[in-house]
Amino acid sequence: MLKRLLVALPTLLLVAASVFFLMRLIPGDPATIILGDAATPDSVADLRLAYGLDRPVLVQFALWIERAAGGDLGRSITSGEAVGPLILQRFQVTAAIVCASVTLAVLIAVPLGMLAAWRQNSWGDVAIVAAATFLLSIPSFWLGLIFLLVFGLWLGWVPVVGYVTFAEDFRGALHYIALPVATLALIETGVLIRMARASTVEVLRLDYIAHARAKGVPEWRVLARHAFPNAFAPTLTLIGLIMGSLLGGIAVIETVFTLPGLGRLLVEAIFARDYPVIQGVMLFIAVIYVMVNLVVDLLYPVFDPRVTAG
Amino acid sequence: MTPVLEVHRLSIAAGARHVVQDLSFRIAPGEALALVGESGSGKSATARAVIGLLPPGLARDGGAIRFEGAALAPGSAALRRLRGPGIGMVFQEPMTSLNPAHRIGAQMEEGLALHTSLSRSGRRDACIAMLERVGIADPASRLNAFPHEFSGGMRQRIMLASVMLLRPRLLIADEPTTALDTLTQAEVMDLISGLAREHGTALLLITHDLGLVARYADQALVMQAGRAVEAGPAAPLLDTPREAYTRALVDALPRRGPARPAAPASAPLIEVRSLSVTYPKRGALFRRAEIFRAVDDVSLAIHPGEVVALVGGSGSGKTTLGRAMLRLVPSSAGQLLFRGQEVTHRSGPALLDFRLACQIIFQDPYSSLDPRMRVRDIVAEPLRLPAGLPMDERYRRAEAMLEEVGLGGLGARFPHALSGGQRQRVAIARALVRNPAFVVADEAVSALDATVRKQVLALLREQQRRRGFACLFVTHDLGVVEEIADRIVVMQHGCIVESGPRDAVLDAPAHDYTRALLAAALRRPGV
Amino acid sequence: MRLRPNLLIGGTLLGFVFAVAATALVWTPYDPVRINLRRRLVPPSADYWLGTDEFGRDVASRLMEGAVTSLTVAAATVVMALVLGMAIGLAGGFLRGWTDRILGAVNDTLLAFPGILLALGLLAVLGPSRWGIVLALGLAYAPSVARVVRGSVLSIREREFVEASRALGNSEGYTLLRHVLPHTAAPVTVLATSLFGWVILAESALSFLGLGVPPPAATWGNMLASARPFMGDAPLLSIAPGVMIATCLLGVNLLGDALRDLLDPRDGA
Repeated sequence: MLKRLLVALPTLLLVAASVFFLMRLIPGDPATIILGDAATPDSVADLRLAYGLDRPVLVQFALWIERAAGGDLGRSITSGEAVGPLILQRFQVTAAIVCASVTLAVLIAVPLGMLAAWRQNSWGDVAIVAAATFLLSIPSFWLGLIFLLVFGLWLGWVPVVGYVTFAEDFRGALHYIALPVATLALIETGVLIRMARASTVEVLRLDYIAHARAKGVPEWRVLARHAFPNAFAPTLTLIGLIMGSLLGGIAVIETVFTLPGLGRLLVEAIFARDYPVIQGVMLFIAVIYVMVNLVVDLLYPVFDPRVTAG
Repeated sequence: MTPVLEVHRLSIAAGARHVVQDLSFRIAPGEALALVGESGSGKSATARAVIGLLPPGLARDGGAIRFEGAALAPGSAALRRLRGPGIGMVFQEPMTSLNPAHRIGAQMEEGLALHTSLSRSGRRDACIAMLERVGIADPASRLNAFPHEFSGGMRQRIMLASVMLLRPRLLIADEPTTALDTLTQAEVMDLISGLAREHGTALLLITHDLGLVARYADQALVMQAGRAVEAGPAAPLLDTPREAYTRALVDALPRRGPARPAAPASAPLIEVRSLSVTYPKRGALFRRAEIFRAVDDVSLAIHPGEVVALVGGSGSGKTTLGRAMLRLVPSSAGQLLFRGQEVTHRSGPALLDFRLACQIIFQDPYSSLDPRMRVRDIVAEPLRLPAGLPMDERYRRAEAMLEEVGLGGLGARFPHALSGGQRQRVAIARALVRNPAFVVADEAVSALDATVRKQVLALLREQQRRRGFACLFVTHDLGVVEEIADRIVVMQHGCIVESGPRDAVLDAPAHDYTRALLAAALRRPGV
Repeated sequence: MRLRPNLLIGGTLLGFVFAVAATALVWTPYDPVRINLRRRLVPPSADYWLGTDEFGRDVASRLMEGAVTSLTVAAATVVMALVLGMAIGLAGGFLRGWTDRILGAVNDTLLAFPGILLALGLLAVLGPSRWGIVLALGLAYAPSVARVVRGSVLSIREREFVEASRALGNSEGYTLLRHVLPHTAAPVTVLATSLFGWVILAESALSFLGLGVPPPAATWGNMLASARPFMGDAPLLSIAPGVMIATCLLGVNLLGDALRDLLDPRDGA
C-alpha cells in the first residue's frame, strides 16, 4: 500500500513537469503570456520577480511546484479569479456527471456482460454484443445532441440549456444532469459489457468453475460467487481507464449540454489563451487520473488476492 | 449388486464428429476403474459426461448413463442434486482448480453448507479433520489462506479434501497427477486411492499413464479415438494384452536397455566447477533483496559420447544447470570448461565457437519453434553459422536431416500443422543438423503421449549412437532415464546429491531422495 | 473457415465511407465551401439530397469532403503514432537497462494523461489546424503504441524459440529482427485498427469544440457544432454527420473484432 503510494509520487512529479514545460513551449516571454492583454512593463517586471522568472528554469519549476502543492495555481488572465478555487468549483459538476454515469454503466453492463458470457453464442449473447458494439461506436457528443433534440426540444421533458447547482435546487439539478449522465452511461455501457463478457468467458473456462459445479453449487451462485470476483478484477482496471478518458473528453459533453464543468473551463481557457487556467486544469485532471488508478490498484487485491497491494 | 455407475453405449458428439462412440462400462461400489488412453481418445469427455459438465461444443448423442440404477439425463435436476454428495470430481490442473478469489476454508465449506445440515462450527471441524487427513500441516490456520499460497501438490490435496468431505459414492479423478512432479504424484495418488477405500467410494480414474493403472485400479478400459479397445481386470490386461493397441501402450512403458561398456577414460568434453546460479528474490522496497540459489556450488563433468541423465523434482535446479552449461543463463560463480578451455566469460567470436558445438532441445515443442517459420527454414537456420555455406546447400542438408528424423516431405509445413511428436522431431533436427558435440535435452519427451514418447526417445538414442554427441538429459522421469542414460546425476535444492553409473544408482541408491524418487516412479509392472 | 459477419459488415461499412471519400476527391454535387445565402437551410430535395446548411452550402457535398478530412487526418495520425510508438517501444524492449527505464518513465508519465487531454494541451500550444491535430493526436497516442510494442517484445523475448535462436549462436540483432519483430505485427495491427477509430472520434470531438480543423473546411465534427443552433428547425443537419461518424466507427470496431479473432492464436491454427 505504502509502496504504491511512493511509486505514484515520481509519476505525479513528472506529470507536473510535463504540464509546466508544455506551457513553456509557447513562443514568447512567459510573463507577457501569463499577464495576457493586461501586460504593462511594470506588471511584467513585478510578475517576473514574484514568480522568479529571471531565475533558472529548474528553480522556476520548483517554485511552481511549491505553490501548486499549496493550492496556489495562479490567477486567471481573463477573470482574475484564483485558479485553484475556480477548478474546485467547476470540478463538482464534472465529478457528479462522471461518477454517476460510471456507476450507472457498471450496474447495467457487468450483469449483462456476465449473462452474455454465461450463454455464450446464444442469440441473447449475440444481441447483447451487437448492441454493445453499436453503442461504443456512437460519438458521445452526437448522442447528446440527439437526446437534446428528442427529450428537450420534441418532448420537452428536460431543459435544453442552463444549470443549477445541487445546493440551489436538488431536483432541478437532477433535471440538468440527467441527459449528460444517460448519454455517457450508455456509451460506457458498450465498452464495459464487452470487457465484462470477455473476462467472464475466460473465467468460465477454468477448472474451478467446473469444480464448483461438480460440488453441486447452483448456477446463480457459480456466477455470483465464483465467476464474478475473478471476472470483475480486469473490468475494474478498465473502469479506471474509462474515468480517465471521461475526464479528458468531458469537454464535449459539457459543451453539448452547456454545463459549467471542468472540461468547458479548459476549452474556454484554450480559446482565451488563459495559460494559468490551462496549466491548472491539466495538472488537476492528470493528478485525479493518477489517483483514480491508484485507488483501482489498491482495490484490485479485494477481487484477486493473488495480487498483493505491496 | 447394482453398479454405482453404468455407462451404456454412450456417444458424445462435437458437431458432426464423434469424440466418444458406443462406449459401455460399469463400476461396482468401492471399485476402481481406470479409463486409459492417449490425448484425443475421448476419456476426459466421458468423465465430464458422467457428471454432466461437458464443455461447450460437446454434447451427448445417444446412450445411457445410470447412477445407482437411475438414468441421468443431461441437464436434469436429478443430476445436479447428485453432484457433490453422489458424484465428486477432481481436476487435472492444480493451478486453476481452486478459486483464487476465496479462502480455502470458504471453498471447502461451501459443499457442506449446500448438502448437509451441519452447523457452522461442525462444518469447520469437518474441514479441519479432512485437511489433516490429506496431510496439510496446521489445518486450522490454513483454512484462512488463499489458494495461491499453496504449491501445486498441496492444492491438489485441498481439492481432494473438499470433494471427499461430501463422501461421494463415486469419485471421478481426471488426470489428477499429470501436472505434478514424480514424488508428489505418488503421494497424491496414494491419498486418492486410500480415501476412496476408507469411504467405500468407487473411483473412476482417467489417465494416460499405464503405470498408474497397475498400481491403483481394479479394472481397466483402454480407449482409442473414442472407442473401447480392450477392457477387463487391470493386472491381466497389462500382463497379457490381447489387442495390438494395448500391447503398444504396454510396450511404450520405459524399459531398461543394456548398459553400454564404459567409455575409455578420456578428457571431459564439458565440465562445470563449483558453479552457482543465483536469482534475486523479489524483495520489499526498503529491504535488501534476498538471493535464491537455483544452482549451488555444483561440479559435473561430461565425457565425449556420454549420455548423462540429470534427475530431480521441480525446483531442484536441474533445468537451470542445463541452461547454465550452455551459457543461456549467467552463472554467478564457478567455471565452465569446454574441451579443457574456460568459456565462462567468453564473448563474441570465441563464444560463437562454443555455441556452434553445443545445442539444446526444449521440453515444449509448441513454444520452442517459431510459429511463423516453415519447418525447413527452422532446420536450415542453424546452418547460417558458421558463415559461408551456400543457401542451396543449407536447404539440401536440412531436407536430408528432416528425412533422417522421419519428416521427409514435410519441410513446407508450419509447426502448427504438425503433431506434438512431429514438432519435437523438428526440434531434434534443428539441434542436430550442425552436428554438435554436446546436446542438452531439457525434458525433451515429457510433454508427449506414451507411444509417441517411445518413438521420439528411440530416435534420440539412435541419433546419439550414430553421431556420438554427448548428451545431458534433464528429466524428472526415472523411466526415461532407464532407457537412455549411461550415468545418472540426482539434484535436490540446487545441489547434486548422488551420481554414478545408471545401474548402480537405480539398483542401489545411496541417498534418501534418490530412493524416494525411485519408489515413486511408476514402472512397468513386473520389471 | 466459419462465416465472419463482423468482417463482412465491418468491411462494408468502412468500405462505404472510403468509397464516399474517394468519390469526393474527384467529384461532389456542389462546391462544399461555396456560400449561397439565398438558399439557407433548404430541406432535402432532388437538388440538395440532404438539404443545405445555415450558409446555404450543400450538406451532402460537405459530408463527402468531411470523409476525406477525417480519413486523411486519421491515417496520418495513426502512421505518426505507430512510427513514434514503435520506435520508443522497440528501443525499450530491445535495449532494456537504463534506456528502457528512462523511456518507460517518460512513457508512463504521458500515459498518466488521458489521451485527449494531452491532445488538448498540445493544441493549446500549437493552435487549431489540420496538421496541428495530426501532431497533437499522434503525440498523444504514441505512448499507448509504445506500451503495447514494448510489452509484446518483452513477452516474445522470453519464449523458448528466442532462446533457441540464441543457443544457435545467432546474434542478438538477428534474433530480434528474425524472431521477435515479426511477432509484434499481430498486436500492432489490432492496435492500429483501434487507434484509427479513436482518432476519428477524437478529431471529430476536437473539431466539434472548435479546436480541430478550422472552418470553412468541412469536417463531421465542425458540421455538428455549427448545426447545433438550428437543431429544432433543421434536425438533419445534426443527424447526418453523426451517422457518418458512427458508421465509420462501427466499421472500424467490427473490423477490429474480426482481426482480433483472426490473429488470436487460440482460435487460429
